[in-house]
Amino acid sequence: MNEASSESRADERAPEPAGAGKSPAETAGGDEAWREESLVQPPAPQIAGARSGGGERSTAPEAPAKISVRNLDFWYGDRQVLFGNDLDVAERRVTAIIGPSGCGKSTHIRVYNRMFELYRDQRASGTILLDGEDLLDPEMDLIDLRRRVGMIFQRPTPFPMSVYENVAYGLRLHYRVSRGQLDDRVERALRGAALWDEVKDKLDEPGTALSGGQQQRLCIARAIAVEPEVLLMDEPTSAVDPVATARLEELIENLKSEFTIVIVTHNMQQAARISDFTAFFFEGYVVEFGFTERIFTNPREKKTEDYITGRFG
Amino acid sequence: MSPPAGEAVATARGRSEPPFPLRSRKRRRVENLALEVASTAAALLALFFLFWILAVVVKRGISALDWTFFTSRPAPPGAEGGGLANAILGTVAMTLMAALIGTPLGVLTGVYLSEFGKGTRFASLVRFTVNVMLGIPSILAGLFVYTLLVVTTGHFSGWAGGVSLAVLILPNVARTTEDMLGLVPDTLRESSLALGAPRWKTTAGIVFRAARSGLATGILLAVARISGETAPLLFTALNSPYWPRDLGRPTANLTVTIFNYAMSPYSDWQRLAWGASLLITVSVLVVTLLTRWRVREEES
Repeated sequence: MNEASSESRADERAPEPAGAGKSPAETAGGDEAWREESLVQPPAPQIAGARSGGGERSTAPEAPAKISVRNLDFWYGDRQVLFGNDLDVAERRVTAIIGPSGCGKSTHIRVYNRMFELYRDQRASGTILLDGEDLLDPEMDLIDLRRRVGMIFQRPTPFPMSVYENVAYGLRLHYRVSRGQLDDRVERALRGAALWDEVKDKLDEPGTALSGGQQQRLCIARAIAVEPEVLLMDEPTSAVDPVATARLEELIENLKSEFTIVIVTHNMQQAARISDFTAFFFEGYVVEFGFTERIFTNPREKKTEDYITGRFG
Repeated sequence: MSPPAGEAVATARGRSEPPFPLRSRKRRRVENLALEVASTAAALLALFFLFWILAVVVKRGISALDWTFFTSRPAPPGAEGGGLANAILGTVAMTLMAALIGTPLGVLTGVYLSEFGKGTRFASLVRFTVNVMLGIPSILAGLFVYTLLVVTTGHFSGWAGGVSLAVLILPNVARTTEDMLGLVPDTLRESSLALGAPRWKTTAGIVFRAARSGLATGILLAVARISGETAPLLFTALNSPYWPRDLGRPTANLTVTIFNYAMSPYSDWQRLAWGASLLITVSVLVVTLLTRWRVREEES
């Protein structure tokens, strides 16, 4: 990977359409000084290639933006928790979202599959382009959106049915498949989630009988079985032990060849290990966004530096 | 960390002076003991009365439970023999009818409260109504159906009896359903929805499955409970010495039979009433034990 070089290249042509064009004063909702400074977005340099229209989409590492978030606000009832979030999620890369508890990380990704709509008092405004189409548009087919954007939760949530049925559930929802094709797809998904060897002899056992780490990989198998384009992961390793965490991280590294991954994590080492891009959230603002390596070695914002060096959070 | 030489002994042992006088340890023990004794005594008292009732019912009722009890109709007053087969059939028929009407309505109401209408004003109104219905005396359910189905048709009937029991079972099942579905964690719903499952499929395929043993238990217990109701049948099904051939007429049932026979001057009828009491008690007990056993099986 020559991320560093591509970044510097991007930096040279700094004024890109993505994050630029908005003065800090416009974006800053609060009156605190750090906000005013910090909201100068890095001009989404890394993935700007595709956005500017010229580049070939397939030439890594200049991955095109799979998801572009613009000016996303979010409310729980009357309380606003996300303020003017801008973010570009690169295709087939891992984007990590870090930040202290309650900074809006999970809330942010729960907008990508419109999961928040389940709750009456939650509301979002702004645009989120998925392949150029605004997924917040009420016309967007929710079921199709969720087939394309899968989600893994903090705690493993196996359905109360067999391992096989857990994986087949999503497939049956979206596709007309024969029994043979189904068997085939279930095996493929379980292999994809690095779980096949451990469960191939207990496909009929309840999913809840697996260990915590296995359950989480089962949930990943279930999610990738429907062949989504994006996988949202909300602190997927926070409920499993260190060994299982290592396996999950390895799995995530492998999955990015096929899927665009957004992972929320409170574990900075994890973000540093597995992600290509990192966004630092604080009190509902995207404070800093860029190459993971750059964020962790050379943060531009004081707040980011304080957080990654453990001064707060 | 050893203290420097010459320090006080107390400090050397690592025990510091408390900042305030300590609460009396003796008093804490006495309070503890008092509450423990009181709650144990209350539990024992409840058990005592329960077993007393059971003992009396078994002692008086067991002699009535012979072959004729389960196979024949009651004999005319004063005559020897006779059984309550007609009343058993009638009770079973009306309880089943109540379950068939009340359970689906109750389950759907519970689903609305827990899944679809959650957080809406209308759901609060429905929940309030369900709670009020749970609290109304069962005799009112009987009177309600009396005006609705008995007065209008001009005669008592098994249908009216079944409907009045359904009125009682509905709020029970609605409440149980809402409670049981409420125990299913939201993340399970979200996981299904996140895969692109529609709302109804998430409810029917995942939430219900996760709550199934609790739901089955709740519904069976609700059915068992209404099978012992008397008051709602007094104004609706009434009672009858005949076989329940036609639910459009007054229909024999165990509870009203107990009510009538226990107050009659005939010792044979009184004996049958005790037998019927024992039968209902044992049935409810068996259903309860079965559901508990089933739940335990599933959990292990």
